[in-house]
Amino acid sequence: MLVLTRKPGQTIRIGNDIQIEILSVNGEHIKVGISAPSEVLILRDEIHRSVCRQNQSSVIPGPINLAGVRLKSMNEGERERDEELNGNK
Amino acid sequence: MNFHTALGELELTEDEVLIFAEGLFGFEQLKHWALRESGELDLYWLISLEDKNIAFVLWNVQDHLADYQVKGFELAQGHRVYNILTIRQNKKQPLITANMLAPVIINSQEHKGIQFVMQESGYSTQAPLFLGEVEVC
Repeated sequence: MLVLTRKPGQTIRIGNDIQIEILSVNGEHIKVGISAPSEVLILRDEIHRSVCRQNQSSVIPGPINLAGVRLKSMNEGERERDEELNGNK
Repeated sequence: MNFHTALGELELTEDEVLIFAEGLFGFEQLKHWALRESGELDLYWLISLEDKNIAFVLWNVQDHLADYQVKGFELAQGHRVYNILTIRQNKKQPLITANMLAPVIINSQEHKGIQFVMQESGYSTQAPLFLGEVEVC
């Protein structure tokens, strides 16, 4: 890994069209500004990982019968999930 | 063209093959998919044409929740928004959730698809939607 030290207001360039600017540093929080072409995907790593994980746990490896799936309203589903998580079903 | 898929042998025309140039998150190498109606409750199958052990169940959250909006992606004519469902089958009453944070957007006119993350939306990858029986055939 390449490690660079930068001060607020300073910028790093990656290739021709990506710039990363350190906007401010406040304790543990570092504000970063990124300029990149719109086709470049920029994501917080934890969001990227959570979407990957969710996809992996959504894989259906073979045919299943969906006939029994019935819709509940969002709120109803939410309440039942909460009950399930709280173990007082 | 014939494909071995998670749903068995599928015969598809060229127009039915969807190209996901970036794959799906966690499945970046899988670029070729097919969308099929399941015949149940607006549920669809998204079927990998390259890995016969991979398929997803999709649903249109947008059709059922008027205030669900895709932000940050320019939707054009021919675009349709789907959400991947997670079905936990290890329980008698499996919990089914929808990934509202990262919808699958399919452009049926151009036969293309993408999974788009609505980073600042506050939507969940596990929005509870269904409860029901799911049988494994």
